[in-house]
Amino acid sequence: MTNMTWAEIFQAVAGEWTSGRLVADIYASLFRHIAGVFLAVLVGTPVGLWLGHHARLRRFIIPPLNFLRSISPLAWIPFAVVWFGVGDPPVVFLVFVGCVLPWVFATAQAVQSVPEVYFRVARDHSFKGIELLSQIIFPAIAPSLLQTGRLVATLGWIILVPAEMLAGREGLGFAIMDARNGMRVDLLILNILVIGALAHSADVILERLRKTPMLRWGHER
Amino acid sequence: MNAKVLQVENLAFSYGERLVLDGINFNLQHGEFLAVVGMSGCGKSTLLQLLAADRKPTQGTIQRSGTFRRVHQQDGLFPWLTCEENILLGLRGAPAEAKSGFSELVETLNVVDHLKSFPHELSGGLRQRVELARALIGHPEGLLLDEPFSSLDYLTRMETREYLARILKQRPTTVVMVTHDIPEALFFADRLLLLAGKPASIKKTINNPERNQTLAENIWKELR
Repeated sequence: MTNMTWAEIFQAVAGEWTSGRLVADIYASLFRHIAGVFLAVLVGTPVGLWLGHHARLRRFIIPPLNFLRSISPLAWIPFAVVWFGVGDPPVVFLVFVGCVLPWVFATAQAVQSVPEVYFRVARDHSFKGIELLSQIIFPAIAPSLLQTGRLVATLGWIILVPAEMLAGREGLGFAIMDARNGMRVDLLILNILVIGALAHSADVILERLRKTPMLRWGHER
Repeated sequence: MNAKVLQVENLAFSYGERLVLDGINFNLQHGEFLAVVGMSGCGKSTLLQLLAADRKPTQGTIQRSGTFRRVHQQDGLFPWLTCEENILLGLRGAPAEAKSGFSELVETLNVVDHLKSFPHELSGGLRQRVELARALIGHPEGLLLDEPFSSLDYLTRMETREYLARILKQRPTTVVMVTHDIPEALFFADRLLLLAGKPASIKKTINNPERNQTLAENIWKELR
Protein backbone atom coordinates (compact mmCIF):
# COMPACT_ATOMS: atom_id res chain seq x y z
CA MET A 1 0.00 0.00 0.00
CA THR A 2 2.82 2.38 0.92
CA ASN A 3 4.45 1.77 -2.47
CA MET A 4 1.26 2.80 -4.30
CA THR A 5 1.74 5.80 -6.60
CA TRP A 6 -0.82 8.15 -8.08
CA ALA A 7 0.32 7.03 -11.54
CA GLU A 8 -0.74 3.48 -10.70
CA ILE A 9 -4.10 4.67 -9.46
CA PHE A 10 -4.64 6.68 -12.67
CA GLN A 11 -3.71 3.58 -14.62
CA ALA A 12 -6.29 1.62 -12.64
CA VAL A 13 -8.90 4.30 -13.41
CA ALA A 14 -8.11 4.07 -17.12
CA GLY A 15 -8.27 0.26 -17.08
CA GLU A 16 -11.56 0.13 -15.19
CA TRP A 17 -13.00 2.88 -17.34
CA THR A 18 -12.10 1.34 -20.70
CA SER A 19 -13.30 -2.09 -19.64
CA GLY A 20 -16.64 -0.52 -18.73
CA ARG A 21 -16.59 -2.07 -15.28
CA LEU A 22 -16.30 1.21 -13.39
CA VAL A 23 -19.36 2.65 -15.11
CA ALA A 24 -21.31 -0.55 -14.53
CA ASP A 25 -20.35 -0.58 -10.83
CA ILE A 26 -21.24 3.09 -10.41
CA TYR A 27 -24.56 2.54 -12.13
CA ALA A 28 -25.38 -0.52 -9.99
CA SER A 29 -24.43 1.19 -6.72
CA LEU A 30 -26.20 4.44 -7.57
CA PHE A 31 -29.37 2.56 -8.46
CA ARG A 32 -29.32 0.55 -5.20
CA HIS A 33 -28.51 3.58 -3.10
CA ILE A 34 -31.19 5.77 -4.64
CA ALA A 35 -33.79 2.97 -4.57
CA GLY A 36 -33.07 2.11 -0.91
CA VAL A 37 -33.12 5.72 0.27
CA PHE A 38 -36.18 6.52 -1.86
CA LEU A 39 -38.11 3.58 -0.38
CA ALA A 40 -37.05 4.64 3.12
CA VAL A 41 -38.40 8.15 2.48
CA LEU A 42 -41.55 6.79 0.85
CA VAL A 43 -42.38 4.49 3.76
CA GLY A 44 -40.83 6.57 6.53
CA THR A 45 -42.57 9.85 5.74
CA PRO A 46 -46.19 8.81 6.36
CA VAL A 47 -45.15 6.80 9.43
CA GLY A 48 -43.17 9.76 10.77
CA LEU A 49 -46.04 12.17 10.10
CA TRP A 50 -48.45 9.83 11.83
CA LEU A 51 -46.20 9.43 14.86
CA GLY A 52 -45.44 13.13 15.01
CA HIS A 53 -49.12 13.91 15.23
CA HIS A 54 -50.19 11.38 17.86
CA ALA A 55 -48.53 11.71 21.25
CA ARG A 56 -50.39 8.72 22.67
CA LEU A 57 -49.39 6.53 19.76
CA ARG A 58 -45.74 7.52 20.19
CA ARG A 59 -45.76 6.06 23.70
CA PHE A 60 -46.51 2.60 22.29
CA ILE A 61 -44.70 2.69 18.98
CA ILE A 62 -41.41 4.39 19.88
CA PRO A 63 -40.05 1.62 22.22
CA PRO A 64 -40.21 -1.19 19.60
CA LEU A 65 -38.85 1.17 16.94
CA ASN A 66 -36.00 2.14 19.25
CA PHE A 67 -35.30 -1.54 19.77
CA LEU A 68 -35.07 -2.10 16.03
CA ARG A 69 -33.08 1.08 15.46
CA SER A 70 -30.22 -0.13 17.62
CA ILE A 71 -29.71 -3.26 15.51
CA SER A 72 -27.12 -2.88 12.76
CA PRO A 73 -28.71 -3.18 9.31
CA LEU A 74 -25.95 -5.67 8.50
CA ALA A 75 -27.50 -8.09 11.01
CA TRP A 76 -30.32 -8.44 8.47
CA ILE A 77 -27.98 -9.77 5.76
CA PRO A 78 -28.92 -13.45 6.22
CA PHE A 79 -32.63 -12.55 6.09
CA ALA A 80 -32.03 -10.34 3.05
CA VAL A 81 -30.34 -13.22 1.22
CA VAL A 82 -33.04 -15.73 2.22
CA TRP A 83 -35.88 -13.39 1.28
CA PHE A 84 -34.41 -11.73 -1.81
CA GLY A 85 -31.55 -13.94 -3.03
CA VAL A 86 -28.65 -12.03 -4.60
CA GLY A 87 -28.49 -9.02 -6.90
CA ASP A 88 -30.17 -5.68 -6.43
CA PRO A 89 -33.15 -6.50 -4.15
CA PRO A 90 -31.23 -7.59 -1.01
CA VAL A 91 -28.90 -4.60 -1.22
CA VAL A 92 -31.80 -2.19 -1.70
CA PHE A 93 -33.52 -3.87 1.23
CA LEU A 94 -30.48 -3.40 3.51
CA VAL A 95 -30.11 0.27 2.55
CA PHE A 96 -33.84 0.69 3.18
CA VAL A 97 -33.63 -1.01 6.60
CA GLY A 98 -30.71 1.19 7.60
CA CYS A 99 -32.31 4.45 6.48
CA VAL A 100 -35.99 4.07 7.21
CA LEU A 101 -35.95 4.37 11.01
CA PRO A 102 -33.69 7.45 11.18
CA TRP A 103 -36.06 9.01 8.62
CA VAL A 104 -39.16 8.05 10.64
CA PHE A 105 -37.72 9.48 13.86
CA ALA A 106 -36.55 12.67 12.17
CA THR A 107 -39.91 13.23 10.46
CA ALA A 108 -41.83 12.65 13.69
CA GLN A 109 -39.50 15.02 15.54
CA ALA A 110 -39.87 17.65 12.80
CA VAL A 111 -43.66 17.49 12.98
CA GLN A 112 -43.58 17.81 16.76
CA SER A 113 -41.40 20.89 16.36
CA VAL A 114 -43.78 22.74 14.03
CA PRO A 115 -44.81 25.85 16.00
CA GLU A 116 -48.39 25.68 17.28
CA VAL A 117 -49.01 29.12 15.79
CA TYR A 118 -48.76 27.65 12.24
CA PHE A 119 -51.57 25.23 13.05
CA ARG A 120 -53.65 28.08 14.45
CA VAL A 121 -53.14 30.20 11.34
CA ALA A 122 -53.93 27.15 9.21
CA ARG A 123 -57.17 26.58 11.14
CA ASP A 124 -58.09 30.26 10.84
CA HIS A 125 -57.70 29.96 7.08
CA SER A 126 -59.56 26.64 6.81
CA PHE A 127 -56.65 24.40 5.87
CA LYS A 128 -57.64 20.78 6.38
CA GLY A 129 -56.59 17.26 5.36
CA ILE A 130 -54.33 17.02 2.34
CA GLU A 131 -54.17 20.80 1.99
CA LEU A 132 -52.94 21.14 5.57
CA LEU A 133 -50.36 18.43 4.94
CA SER A 134 -49.08 19.67 1.60
CA GLN A 135 -49.29 23.43 2.12
CA ILE A 136 -48.48 23.81 5.80
CA ILE A 137 -46.90 20.75 7.42
CA PHE A 138 -44.58 19.72 4.55
CA PRO A 139 -43.17 23.19 3.94
CA ALA A 140 -42.80 23.68 7.70
CA ILE A 141 -40.74 20.50 8.13
CA ALA A 142 -38.90 20.71 4.79
CA PRO A 143 -35.70 22.41 6.06
CA SER A 144 -35.40 19.90 8.86
CA LEU A 145 -36.04 16.98 6.48
CA LEU A 146 -33.42 18.29 4.10
CA GLN A 147 -30.83 18.13 6.85
CA THR A 148 -31.96 14.60 7.70
CA GLY A 149 -31.82 13.77 3.99
CA ARG A 150 -28.13 14.63 3.95
CA LEU A 151 -27.47 12.34 6.91
CA VAL A 152 -29.59 9.51 5.53
CA ALA A 153 -27.93 9.75 2.10
CA THR A 154 -24.54 9.35 3.77
CA LEU A 155 -25.84 6.50 5.89
CA GLY A 156 -27.05 4.83 2.70
CA TRP A 157 -23.52 4.82 1.29
CA ILE A 158 -22.08 3.49 4.54
CA ILE A 159 -24.51 0.57 4.46
CA LEU A 160 -24.24 0.00 0.73
CA VAL A 161 -20.57 -0.99 0.72
CA PRO A 162 -20.74 -3.94 3.17
CA ALA A 163 -24.14 -4.91 1.78
CA GLU A 164 -22.74 -5.18 -1.73
CA MET A 165 -19.78 -7.17 -0.47
CA LEU A 166 -22.07 -9.85 0.83
CA ALA A 167 -25.27 -9.71 -1.11
CA GLY A 168 -24.46 -8.10 -4.45
CA ARG A 169 -22.91 -9.36 -7.70
CA GLU A 170 -21.61 -6.02 -8.89
CA GLY A 171 -21.29 -2.48 -7.61
CA LEU A 172 -18.60 -0.44 -5.95
CA GLY A 173 -18.80 -2.39 -2.67
CA PHE A 174 -18.45 -5.65 -4.54
CA ALA A 175 -15.54 -4.16 -6.48
CA ILE A 176 -13.81 -3.30 -3.20
CA MET A 177 -14.20 -6.90 -2.03
CA ASP A 178 -12.97 -8.14 -5.39
CA ALA A 179 -9.94 -5.86 -5.26
CA ARG A 180 -9.21 -7.01 -1.72
CA ASN A 181 -9.34 -10.66 -2.73
CA GLY A 182 -7.04 -9.99 -5.68
CA MET A 183 -4.69 -7.83 -3.55
CA ARG A 184 -5.32 -4.95 -6.00
CA VAL A 185 -4.70 -1.97 -3.77
CA ASP A 186 -4.96 0.38 -6.77
CA LEU A 187 -8.53 -0.75 -7.46
CA LEU A 188 -9.35 -0.66 -3.76
CA ILE A 189 -8.29 2.98 -3.54
CA LEU A 190 -10.02 3.81 -6.83
CA ASN A 191 -13.36 2.44 -5.61
CA ILE A 192 -13.05 4.15 -2.23
CA LEU A 193 -12.39 7.45 -4.01
CA VAL A 194 -15.37 6.96 -6.33
CA ILE A 195 -17.74 6.21 -3.42
CA GLY A 196 -16.46 9.27 -1.57
CA ALA A 197 -16.92 11.43 -4.67
CA LEU A 198 -20.48 10.17 -5.26
CA ALA A 199 -21.46 10.68 -1.62
CA HIS A 200 -19.96 14.15 -1.64
CA SER A 201 -21.73 15.07 -4.90
CA ALA A 202 -25.08 14.04 -3.45
CA ASP A 203 -24.35 16.16 -0.38
CA VAL A 204 -23.43 19.15 -2.54
CA ILE A 205 -26.74 18.86 -4.43
CA LEU A 206 -28.73 18.71 -1.17
CA GLU A 207 -26.74 21.63 0.22
CA ARG A 208 -27.63 23.64 -2.91
CA LEU A 209 -31.30 22.88 -2.31
CA ARG A 210 -30.99 24.61 1.05
CA LYS A 211 -30.59 27.89 -0.76
CA THR A 212 -33.90 27.71 -2.61
CA PRO A 213 -36.41 30.33 -1.37
CA MET A 214 -38.77 27.65 -0.07
CA LEU A 215 -36.12 26.24 2.26
CA ARG A 216 -33.77 29.15 2.93
CA TRP A 217 -35.84 30.45 5.84
CA GLY A 218 -35.06 27.38 7.91
CA HIS A 219 -31.35 28.14 7.93
CA GLU A 220 -31.12 31.91 7.96
CA ARG A 221 -32.53 32.87 11.32
CA MET B 1 -74.93 48.54 11.74
CA ASN B 2 -75.76 47.91 15.37
CA ALA B 3 -76.00 44.16 15.01
CA LYS B 4 -74.06 42.16 17.54
CA VAL B 5 -70.93 40.70 16.01
CA LEU B 6 -69.81 38.83 19.09
CA GLN B 7 -71.84 37.62 22.05
CA VAL B 8 -70.16 35.97 25.00
CA GLU B 9 -72.42 34.62 27.71
CA ASN B 10 -71.49 33.12 31.03
CA LEU B 11 -68.19 31.83 29.67
CA ALA B 12 -66.02 29.56 31.77
CA PHE B 13 -62.97 27.50 30.89
CA SER B 14 -60.92 24.92 32.79
CA TYR B 15 -57.62 23.26 32.05
CA GLY B 16 -58.52 19.87 33.50
CA GLU B 17 -59.59 20.54 37.08
CA ARG B 18 -58.18 24.07 37.16
CA LEU B 19 -60.77 26.73 36.45
CA VAL B 20 -59.03 29.54 34.53
CA LEU B 21 -61.87 31.78 33.39
CA ASP B 22 -65.27 32.20 34.93
CA GLY B 23 -68.38 34.31 34.43
CA ILE B 24 -67.24 36.20 31.33
CA ASN B 25 -70.04 38.15 29.64
CA PHE B 26 -69.86 40.80 26.94
CA ASN B 27 -71.31 41.76 23.57
CA LEU B 28 -69.64 43.60 20.74
CA GLN B 29 -71.26 45.63 18.01
CA HIS B 30 -69.89 46.27 14.57
CA GLY B 31 -66.83 48.52 14.58
CA GLU B 32 -66.32 48.42 18.35
CA PHE B 33 -62.81 48.07 19.74
CA LEU B 34 -62.63 46.04 22.94
CA ALA B 35 -59.38 45.81 24.86
CA VAL B 36 -58.98 43.08 27.47
CA VAL B 37 -56.31 44.01 29.97
CA GLY B 38 -54.78 41.78 32.59
CA MET B 39 -51.51 40.72 34.13
CA SER B 40 -49.39 38.12 32.34
CA GLY B 41 -50.77 34.62 32.82
CA CYS B 42 -54.21 35.79 33.95
CA GLY B 43 -56.04 34.01 31.12
CA LYS B 44 -56.19 36.71 28.43
CA SER B 45 -54.70 34.54 25.73
CA THR B 46 -56.98 31.66 26.73
CA LEU B 47 -59.95 33.99 26.30
CA LEU B 48 -58.73 34.94 22.84
CA GLN B 49 -58.23 31.28 21.93
CA LEU B 50 -61.81 30.63 23.00
CA LEU B 51 -63.02 33.50 20.83
CA ALA B 52 -60.96 32.14 17.93
CA ALA B 53 -62.53 28.69 18.45
CA ASP B 54 -59.15 27.07 19.18
CA ARG B 55 -60.68 25.78 22.41
CA LYS B 56 -64.18 24.86 23.46
CA PRO B 57 -65.71 26.59 26.49
CA THR B 58 -66.22 24.44 29.55
CA GLN B 59 -69.39 26.40 30.14
CA GLY B 60 -71.31 29.20 28.42
CA THR B 61 -71.56 30.21 24.80
CA ILE B 62 -69.74 32.32 22.23
CA GLN B 63 -71.68 33.48 19.19
CA ARG B 64 -69.75 35.03 16.34
CA SER B 65 -71.31 36.46 13.26
CA GLY B 66 -69.13 36.35 10.13
CA THR B 67 -65.43 35.65 9.74
CA PHE B 68 -62.89 36.46 12.40
CA ARG B 69 -59.19 36.80 11.68
CA ARG B 70 -56.30 36.96 14.06
CA VAL B 71 -52.93 38.64 14.51
CA HIS B 72 -50.50 36.76 16.73
CA GLN B 73 -47.86 37.97 19.12
CA GLN B 74 -45.11 36.95 16.67
CA ASP B 75 -44.14 34.43 13.99
CA GLY B 76 -47.68 34.15 12.67
CA LEU B 77 -46.51 34.38 9.04
CA PHE B 78 -45.58 31.27 7.11
CA PRO B 79 -41.83 31.67 6.50
CA TRP B 80 -41.81 29.65 3.27
CA LEU B 81 -44.21 32.06 1.57
CA THR B 82 -43.45 35.57 0.40
CA CYS B 83 -45.22 38.43 2.14
CA GLU B 84 -47.59 38.75 -0.79
CA GLU B 85 -48.45 35.05 -0.67
CA ASN B 86 -48.98 35.31 3.06
CA ILE B 87 -51.32 38.26 2.64
CA LEU B 88 -53.29 36.56 -0.12
CA LEU B 89 -54.00 33.63 2.22
CA GLY B 90 -56.37 36.01 3.95
CA LEU B 91 -58.60 35.84 0.88
CA ARG B 92 -59.44 32.19 1.50
CA GLY B 93 -63.15 32.01 2.09
CA ALA B 94 -63.57 35.72 1.35
CA PRO B 95 -65.75 37.10 -1.45
CA ALA B 96 -63.93 37.45 -4.80
CA GLU B 97 -64.26 41.23 -4.83
CA ALA B 98 -62.21 41.47 -1.61
CA LYS B 99 -59.02 41.20 -3.66
CA SER B 100 -59.68 44.58 -5.25
CA GLY B 101 -58.73 46.25 -1.95
CA PHE B 102 -55.25 44.67 -1.97
CA SER B 103 -53.32 47.66 -3.35
CA GLU B 104 -54.94 50.16 -1.03
CA LEU B 105 -54.37 47.92 1.99
CA VAL B 106 -50.67 47.28 1.34
CA GLU B 107 -50.13 50.95 0.63
CA THR B 108 -51.82 52.07 3.84
CA LEU B 109 -49.75 49.59 5.84
CA ASN B 110 -46.64 50.58 3.87
CA VAL B 111 -45.64 47.05 2.94
CA VAL B 112 -45.69 47.54 -0.84
CA ASP B 113 -41.91 47.40 -1.20
CA HIS B 114 -41.68 44.13 0.69
CA LEU B 115 -44.29 42.00 -1.04
CA LYS B 116 -41.70 39.76 -2.73
CA SER B 117 -39.63 39.40 0.44
CA PHE B 118 -39.80 36.47 2.81
CA PRO B 119 -40.83 37.16 6.42
CA HIS B 120 -37.40 36.37 7.88
CA GLU B 121 -35.94 39.14 5.72
CA LEU B 122 -38.13 41.78 7.40
CA SER B 123 -38.03 43.61 10.71
CA GLY B 124 -40.48 42.67 13.48
CA GLY B 125 -42.67 45.72 12.88
CA LEU B 126 -42.97 45.02 9.16
CA ARG B 127 -43.85 41.40 9.83
CA GLN B 128 -46.67 42.49 12.13
CA ARG B 129 -47.95 44.86 9.45
CA VAL B 130 -47.90 42.08 6.88
CA GLU B 131 -49.84 39.88 9.30
CA LEU B 132 -52.30 42.70 9.82
CA ALA B 133 -52.72 42.96 6.04
CA ARG B 134 -53.39 39.22 5.87
CA ALA B 135 -55.96 39.49 8.63
CA LEU B 136 -57.79 42.38 6.99
CA ILE B 137 -57.58 41.61 3.27
CA GLY B 138 -60.71 39.46 3.28
CA HIS B 139 -62.81 42.13 5.06
CA PRO B 140 -63.47 40.00 8.14
CA GLU B 141 -66.24 40.93 10.50
CA GLY B 142 -63.92 40.65 13.48
CA LEU B 143 -60.24 40.94 14.27
CA LEU B 144 -58.61 39.21 17.23
CA LEU B 145 -55.31 40.68 18.35
CA ASP B 146 -53.15 38.66 20.71
CA GLU B 147 -50.72 41.19 22.16
CA PRO B 148 -49.72 42.08 18.61
CA PHE B 149 -47.07 44.62 19.56
CA SER B 150 -45.53 42.95 22.59
CA SER B 151 -42.54 41.56 20.71
CA LEU B 152 -41.62 44.96 19.25
CA ASP B 153 -39.27 47.60 20.58
CA TYR B 154 -40.81 50.82 21.89
CA LEU B 155 -40.45 52.98 18.76
CA THR B 156 -41.62 50.24 16.42
CA ARG B 157 -44.56 49.62 18.73
CA MET B 158 -45.59 53.26 18.51
CA GLU B 159 -45.24 53.21 14.73
CA THR B 160 -47.21 49.96 14.33
CA ARG B 161 -49.96 51.32 16.58
CA GLU B 162 -50.34 54.25 14.20
CA TYR B 163 -50.63 51.91 11.25
CA LEU B 164 -53.31 49.87 13.02
CA ALA B 165 -55.28 53.01 13.89
CA ARG B 166 -55.02 54.20 10.28
CA ILE B 167 -56.15 50.93 8.75
CA LEU B 168 -59.05 50.56 11.16
CA LYS B 169 -60.22 54.01 10.17
CA GLN B 170 -60.11 52.92 6.56
CA ARG B 171 -61.74 49.53 7.21
CA PRO B 172 -63.94 49.73 10.32
CA THR B 173 -63.73 46.29 11.93
CA THR B 174 -64.83 44.88 15.25
CA VAL B 175 -61.71 44.22 17.30
CA VAL B 176 -60.86 42.32 20.44
CA MET B 177 -57.32 42.95 21.60
CA VAL B 178 -55.78 41.29 24.63
CA THR B 179 -52.80 43.07 26.11
CA HIS B 180 -50.95 43.72 29.34
CA ASP B 181 -49.95 47.14 28.04
CA ILE B 182 -52.43 49.59 29.62
CA PRO B 183 -51.48 52.70 27.57
CA GLU B 184 -51.83 50.62 24.41
CA ALA B 185 -55.29 49.48 25.46
CA LEU B 186 -56.30 53.07 26.26
CA PHE B 187 -54.96 54.24 22.90
CA PHE B 188 -57.43 52.09 20.98
CA ALA B 189 -60.28 50.95 23.15
CA ASP B 190 -63.92 51.97 22.98
CA ARG B 191 -64.36 49.63 25.89
CA LEU B 192 -61.93 48.16 28.35
CA LEU B 193 -62.33 44.92 30.29
CA LEU B 194 -60.11 44.38 33.28
CA LEU B 195 -59.47 40.70 33.74
CA ALA B 196 -58.20 39.59 37.16
CA GLY B 197 -58.54 37.03 39.92
CA LYS B 198 -58.25 33.27 40.13
CA PRO B 199 -60.18 32.10 38.21
CA ALA B 200 -60.04 35.24 36.08
CA SER B 201 -63.24 37.17 35.66
CA ILE B 202 -64.15 40.67 34.53
CA LYS B 203 -63.24 42.89 37.42
CA LYS B 204 -64.32 46.09 35.79
CA THR B 205 -65.66 47.44 32.48
CA ILE B 206 -64.71 50.94 31.38
CA ASN B 207 -66.64 52.46 28.48
CA ASN B 208 -65.00 55.15 26.37
CA PRO B 209 -61.94 55.35 28.60
CA GLU B 210 -60.07 58.62 28.73
CA ARG B 211 -56.56 58.43 27.39
CA ASN B 212 -54.70 59.79 30.37
CA GLN B 213 -51.97 58.80 32.75
CA THR B 214 -54.16 58.87 35.86
CA LEU B 215 -56.56 56.31 34.47
CA ALA B 216 -53.66 54.13 33.37
CA GLU B 217 -52.22 54.24 36.87
CA ASN B 218 -55.57 53.45 38.46
CA ILE B 219 -56.07 50.47 36.18
CA TRP B 220 -52.60 49.24 37.02
CA LYS B 221 -53.37 49.49 40.75
CA GLU B 222 -56.63 47.58 40.28
CA LEU B 223 -54.96 44.79 38.42
CA ARG B 224 -52.17 44.25 40.94
